Order: sequence, then structure tokens, then C-alpha cells
Amino acid sequence: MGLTARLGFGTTTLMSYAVAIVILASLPLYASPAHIFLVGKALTMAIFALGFNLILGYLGMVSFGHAAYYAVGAYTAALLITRLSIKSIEIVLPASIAASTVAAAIIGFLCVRHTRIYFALLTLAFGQMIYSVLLKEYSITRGSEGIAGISKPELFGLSLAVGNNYYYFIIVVFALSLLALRVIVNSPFGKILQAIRENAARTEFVGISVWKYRWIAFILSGVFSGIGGALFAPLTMHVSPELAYWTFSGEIVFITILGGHGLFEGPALGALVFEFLKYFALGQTIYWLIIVGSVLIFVVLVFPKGIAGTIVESVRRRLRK
Amino acid sequence: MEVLKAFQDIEVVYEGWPPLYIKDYTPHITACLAAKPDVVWSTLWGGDLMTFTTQAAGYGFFKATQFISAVGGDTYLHMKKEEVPEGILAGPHNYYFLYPPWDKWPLNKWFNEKYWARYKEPPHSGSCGAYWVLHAYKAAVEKACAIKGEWAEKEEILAALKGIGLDEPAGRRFLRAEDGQAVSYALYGFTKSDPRYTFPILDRMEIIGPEECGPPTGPIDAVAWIRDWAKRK
Amino acid sequence: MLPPDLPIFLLNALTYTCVYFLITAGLSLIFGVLGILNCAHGALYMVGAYVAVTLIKLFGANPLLQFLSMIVAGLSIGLIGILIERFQLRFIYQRQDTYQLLLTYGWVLVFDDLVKLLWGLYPQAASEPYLWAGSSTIVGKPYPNYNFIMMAGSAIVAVLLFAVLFRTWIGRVIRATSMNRELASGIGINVNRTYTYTFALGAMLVGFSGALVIPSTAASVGMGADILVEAFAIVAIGGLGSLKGAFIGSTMAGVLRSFGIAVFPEIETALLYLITAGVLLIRPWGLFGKRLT
Repeated sequence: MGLTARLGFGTTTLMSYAVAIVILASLPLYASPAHIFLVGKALTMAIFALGFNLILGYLGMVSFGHAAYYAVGAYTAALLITRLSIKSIEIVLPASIAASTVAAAIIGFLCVRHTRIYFALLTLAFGQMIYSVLLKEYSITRGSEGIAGISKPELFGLSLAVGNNYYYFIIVVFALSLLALRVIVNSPFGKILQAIRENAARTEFVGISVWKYRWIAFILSGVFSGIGGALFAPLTMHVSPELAYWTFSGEIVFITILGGHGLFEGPALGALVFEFLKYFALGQTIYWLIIVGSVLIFVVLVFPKGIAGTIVESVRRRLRK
Repeated sequence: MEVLKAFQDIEVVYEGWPPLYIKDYTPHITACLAAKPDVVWSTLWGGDLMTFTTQAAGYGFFKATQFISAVGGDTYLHMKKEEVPEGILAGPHNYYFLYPPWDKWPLNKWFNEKYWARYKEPPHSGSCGAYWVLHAYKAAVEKACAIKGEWAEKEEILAALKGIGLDEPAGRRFLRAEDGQAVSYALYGFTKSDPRYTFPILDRMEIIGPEECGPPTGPIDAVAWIRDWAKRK
Repeated sequence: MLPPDLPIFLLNALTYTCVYFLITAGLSLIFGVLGILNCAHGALYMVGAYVAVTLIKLFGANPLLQFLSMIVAGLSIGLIGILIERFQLRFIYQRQDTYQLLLTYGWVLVFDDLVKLLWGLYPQAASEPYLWAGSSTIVGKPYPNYNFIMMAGSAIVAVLLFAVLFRTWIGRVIRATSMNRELASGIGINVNRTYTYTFALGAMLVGFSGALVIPSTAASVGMGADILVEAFAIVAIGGLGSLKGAFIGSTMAGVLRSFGIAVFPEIETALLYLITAGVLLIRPWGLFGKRLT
């Protein structure tokens, strides 16, 4: 009882999360290295998407330039590991998060006073600017070649390059991010965000500085985008400017909606489903985009609440009967 | 860039870095021409080079400067001769179908006849490369098995591969024994329209032998190695 | 520090402006009437380009037929626009902006692969009209004549567009609907059909522009994504729903593209977006846009 009051969610939720984490952690027992890599990548996207959903699902604003913060996190990690030869992830990760957070703070400050289409266009413009910088500053970022050979770092001396250690590390960070976001979302802060989404004017009248809350939410989403990107860099061992291009921003919007942006866990589910869809579609044909695009169109037309949302809705409806 | 600076009498007036697969080079073309270069060096290739050549020709690019296409020799085999202005200095990737001359090197003649009959287009460096790889592998297997008397293991075939020297359509090629580096010559020529073919050919060809342009053994600093050439010439 | 061959750069800027205008006029029109930002606009541009490649190659050496095929390509994209609007877009007008963006984005993905399926993975070139046009001499330097053809083609289409919008009945209907949907429907205008026409018109414009540029560049799979983000930047600057804004924005983009590399090589990629951000921060609805309540 005390737990629910303090955190905003109770033991049932914690139990289900624990089960999910255990399932994820048990993967190396029966899955191939390719699948483990896939799930690892999907988890970094899941962290990104969960943070992104603060803006999309809870605030109701569409940002078309969020890939930029993922990219900033990824590139910071890449540069620290390859250029400065920093081996400790306990330094790399916080530094990358700091970088993406600063970027989100600055850009967010400029963007959040706008709404709807113009917010989307402004975030798009800034995202493209970051892409341009990554592309042009060859001396630092190696331009379109990207940065390669990003080795997996160490965690307090423990090498993450051995076996599936990096995968387990990703799971740990994912679990922490999941819990952190859940706490944020169930707190009064989260409730205020939803109030702003429903009726910004009324919320303002109640005395809440709407733009400040939007800004903080934007910064928080920047934090988690940075985490996702920083985990991504050593996983795939290569980063390139396309990570900041608007099509990747579009992908994260798609993933969030696919999973269901009305439900907290929805985006995480969307990330996993999307990565697997991509993987299996690619296995069948090189024309996987048609499949993904058609799925998106289908979901938008028929399942507005996304996969997770629709399932939850139908379950709720059945329970009510 | 550092390479070019090694040659003291070169002044770099323009650098352009269009992203891969960009479809419109005209801003770069006009900006480059405005810098009035005597020579333009480019590593564009494939579809990018085709688009660039078509667009640049419209601006009189190839009359205004000497264009050097480092790897364009193969790309130009796939364009029509009306599309490619004459006088472009281009080099293919170590094989050009007209060299060695067919009357002097029958293997090249044979290779071309077979290739044209089958594919109706000229063989490019990739085709010769594929031929060389399979030929070398076959020779290595034969050598290793002859020595052993029966089917050889992977390591034995690898050992037989090193130092192997074969007659190829491109000329004589060999794999260095020390490091397994395949060595060949470099070739370049100027584009020219020829009534015999629908595509432009390379004329006034010059060869740089492997002793001059093959990389030295062991780890090298590419820039320092090229700077060496400046001192040699 | 301006480049010495100023007239060449100006002519290029003009050429880019013309093409950008065709693209963004359609985008702005669709937003002004239907209220949606068409994310599939770039994809339609790309499909127009590919269709034009096939048609131009079909007509071998006949320049007149080749130019006609560009018009046909544009019209065919208009047809695709009608299909998209009637059978998909119509169902989500009631929903939030997000869904409209997503639906049109879904089409981007589908078209990307459809193009690969139908035309293959490699860029397709059809430079016959470009070569046929040749070069003339401007201030002593050669200049490709095809650019003049692009300018002329765009100008003609733009004039036709204005004629349709301001001299015909259907144009009046479109403008009325863009000003006030409810009132328009109140005086008996079939708003649904107007939406279809407008979307088709926008699609035709962008399909034709894709066809128009083909002889000078090549059709490739990435071209839709690249042009879309530039188009968004332009209409953001000019103001969504405003044709005047589309023109001003296109001019800015055209000038930047022509002079950017020569004058500001370090930041030329970011320039357009810097201006977009700058304009939006000062005037959130663009230079000539309507205030969204």
C-alpha cells in the first residue's frame, strides 16, 4: 500500500516488470547471437521511445527532430571511446547523457512555446541542423563516414566486451530507465503533463506555467534519448550522421504510435515489435518497407490506440462485462 | 588534402564534399568553376560520376579545367560517348579492356572475345578481378594438391597462394609472398570518342608499374608514402 | 565575398526557385484547404520522377514527346493523389494531427519500396532532353539550356495554377474552402470533393516538378526524403497555406542553394534550417501564414 502511494504504481506492476526483465535476461540461454543483438538494439530504441512518449503521449506534441538527441548521445559516446580512449562506461554514459540533455535543454527552450504543426516544424529544423553539423565537421565527426571501431567499454573494471555482458548491461539500464520513467509519469508532474495535453489554457489558468512543464518534459526526453544513443554506439560499433536525419525521427514516432502511445509501456513494445518486424521482413524480401508502411497505414486506420493500446482496451472492455 | 600539400607547387583553391548519392552537383560545379582551377581531381564514381559529368558538361566544366577522375575509367565504360566530353583524364581500377593491346597479349584478346559474346559490353576491372581471384584460387589448389599428392588443407592452399604469379588478361599479376598483397600496375588515359564503340574509350594510355605504385610491405603511413613520390619525381 | 560569375549563380538560383515553388505551392495548398501537412509529398515527387524516366526512355529521340511525357507523369501523380485521398485520408480528417502525419508517412515507406520493386535499386537516368537542349553562352561562360526549359516549364505551370485558382469556378471553391470550411459547406460546396481536387492538384504539381528535374539529375530512392525536409522548411518559412509564402520561401532556398557552397561552405547544409528556425522563433506561423488558434 505504501509503495503505491509513494511511487504511483504498485506491486503488480513491479512484478510484471520483473517477469519481463527475467525473460529478457534469459534470452542468451536459447537465442542466437543475432537475436540477442536485435533485442539489445530494440531495447536502446525502447528507452528512446519511452522517453519520447513523454512528449508525444503525455504532452500530446509531435517532435520531428528527436533523433538528434539520440545521435548526440551516440556520437558523444563514440568520440569519448575512440578519440579520448575512455574505457569506463561509468564516465561515458553520464557524459553522453549530459551532452544530449544540454542539446535538448537549449533546443527545447526555443521550441516549447510553439504548438502543433509549428512545434513539429521547428523541432525538425533543429534536428536537421544537428545532422548538418555531424555531416560537415569532418575533422571531429568524420562526416558521412561516421565513427567506426567503437569498442565496448568496461563497467568499473569489468569488461563488457566479454560474452553477453553488454547485453546484460543494456537490460540493467533499460530496467532502471523503465522504473524511473514510470515514477515520473505516475507522479504529480506526469499528471500535470496530461492536464496540459487535455486543455493547456485551463491548466495555465490554474496557475501552472505550461511552457516550463513542457520544457522540463522535453529535457527529460532528451535524457533518455541520450541514454539510448549512448548504449547504441558500442553495441553496433559504428555511428553515422543518418542517426540524426529526420527519417530516423519519423521512425521513433512510428514506433511509439505502433506500440500505443496512450499506454506507458506501449512504446517499448512498439520498439521490440518494429525491430523484429524489420528483421523478419528483411529475411523474406528486401522490400521490407512496404510491409512496414502498410502496417503503419493499417494501424493508423484500424487501431488508433496502437497494438498495446488496443489489446488493453479490449481486455478492459471484456473485464467490465 | 595533406597529400596534395606535399607537392609544393600545388595551390588548393577549392574543396567540395558533396554527400554520397546527392543528385544535384550544380552548386558545387558553379562554386568550383568560380575558383578558376587549372585541374580538378575527383574520386566520384558510379552513378554519382555519371550525374556529375552530365551536369558539369552543361556548364562547360571540362573545357574550363582539366578534370581528373581517379576511378572513373570503369564508370565511363557504361556511358554513351556523346555524354562524356573528350580529354578527361581517367583511371580504372587496375584493368582496362584495351590494355595490354590485343595483338601483343593474346590472353586479353581471348578474354574480351568471350566476355563481349556473353554480355555484349566491355569487361571492366571488376570482371577481370573476379577472373583473377578464381584463377589464382584454382592455381593455388592445384599447386598445393600436386605437392601433397592428395586434397590439401586450407592452410596449405593459403601457403601455395602466397607468391603466386599468373598470366592474366590484365597482364602478369602476382601475390606478394611477404604479406599476401596482390600487386598490379596503375593505368590512366584521356577519354576519347571512337567510332568502333558506343562508349568513350581511354586514349594515350600510360602505365605506372607496380614497383612504383605498389604499397611497401608492412604497416605504412599513407601520406608519408605518397610524399615520397614527390621527392622521387 | 560574392563569386565572380554572378549571372551564372543568379540563373541557378532562379532555376532552383522555380522548381521549389512548384513543390511547395502544392504542399501549401493542401495544408491551406485540407489542414494536413502532407508527409507523402516527397514520395510523390520521387514517383513522378521515376514515371518520367520510363516515359522519356520510351520516346527515344523525340524531344517533343519527351516533354509531353513529363506532363503525363505529373497528371498520373495527380491520379495517385486522388486515390490516396479518397480511400485513405478521408477517414482520418476527424482525428488529431498526429494521425494525418503518420498516415502520409506510411505512404512514404510504401512508395520507397514500390519504386525499388518497379524500377530497381539503382538510380535511373534519362538525360536525353538535357543533352538535346545543349548550352548557350552567358557572360562568356557555357550554361545549360535545360535550366531555361525548367524555368519556362515552371512558369507556365505557375501561371496555369493561378489561372485555375483565380479565374475558374473550381478555383474559387478551393479558395473559399481554405478560408472557412464550415461556411463553404454551408453555402453548398461539396467539401469532400473539394478536398479531393485540391489534393490531386497538389500531387500533380509536385509530380510534374519531379518529372521536370529528371533530365538534369537522376531518379533515385532517397530523393523523396531529401526534398521533403527542404519543402517543409520552405513552407515553414513562408507560412503554411500561403502561396505568396511558398514563393518567398522558395526564393530563399533557391538563393541559398546556389550561393551557399560558394559563400558559406562551412555551414551551407545547415543554412536553410537556421533560417527556418530563425523565422519560426520570431513569427511562429511563418512570414505569411495564418495564425493557428
